[in-house]
Amino acid sequence: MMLEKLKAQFGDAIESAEEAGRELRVQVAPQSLVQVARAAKDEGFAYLADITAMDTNDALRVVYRLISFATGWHLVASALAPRAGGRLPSLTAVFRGAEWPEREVYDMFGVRFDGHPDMRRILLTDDWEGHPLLKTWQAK
Amino acid sequence: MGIAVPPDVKRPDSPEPEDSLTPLGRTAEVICRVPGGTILMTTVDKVLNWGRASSLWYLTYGLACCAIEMMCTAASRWDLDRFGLIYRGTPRQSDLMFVAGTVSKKMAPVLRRLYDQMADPKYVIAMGGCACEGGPFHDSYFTVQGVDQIVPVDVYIAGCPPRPEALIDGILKLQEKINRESVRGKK
Repeated sequence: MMLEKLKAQFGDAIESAEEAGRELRVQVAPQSLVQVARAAKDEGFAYLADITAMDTNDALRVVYRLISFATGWHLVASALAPRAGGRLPSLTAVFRGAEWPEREVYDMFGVRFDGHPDMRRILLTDDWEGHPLLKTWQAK
Repeated sequence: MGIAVPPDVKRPDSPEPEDSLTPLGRTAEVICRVPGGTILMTTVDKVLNWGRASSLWYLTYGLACCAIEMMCTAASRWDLDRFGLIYRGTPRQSDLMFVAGTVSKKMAPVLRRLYDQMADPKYVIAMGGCACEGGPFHDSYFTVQGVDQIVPVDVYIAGCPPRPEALIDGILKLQEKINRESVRGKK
């Protein structure tokens, strides 16, 4: 029911959607990410469990995992960002807890988040060069 | 288990030249020039070393899983208190620092600063593989490859993590080392 609602509301912005077990997986167009997150939060997916990313060699897939405590369902939303100089809208306006995970994704993968209140590295030192979880990153 | 660094090994920060004695050490030098003074000083050394080795208050620098073993060693089953070791939450009251765990490069300046805040004489025990030489994070992009790159280490304890018995063995090695020291300069 949630999938139909999202598709009806956002149309082409939901690039792909599938259901597996008690998990909804959607790929969202970056420009609609914040609106989709807000709609999901209104539907009960009120807990942002994690934000991470993966390097698919063609692009970076940033993954958001939302949990609805009322139903036990998970919503796994993802958005693609270019590998070099990628930017995505920040979810901090919807989920305040997105602040640190987004900083971690920036630290490890180099994706910058527009609208983030404090877009700095979080784990590595500020003078660090490169983003170590990119597949092109070489240890010295 | 534990390996104590011999006193003649060069420490990274201070090779301790002859003229860098403490006020107590300078007094000792004067006393030693008096006939019979050296005999007196051996007793003074003994008393001081006994005091230093028997009341090693330690700064709990718990950084990873080794910290669990360190806490365990301090608790009632192994009871570090019987060796005179009491944990302190501040470097100003500490004589000994257990570096228990993985030191990241972001933590390194903090560790060095806390070491600098400790009052002399001060000792460092590197506990576990990570603190000794990077351990499983050997060649990692953000792990200090051994805490001896930042602070001088007195005793290395191998293990991942070392059992409390290993830690106690390292402490006994450190106490032996302290008992060989002299206020007239470490020898």
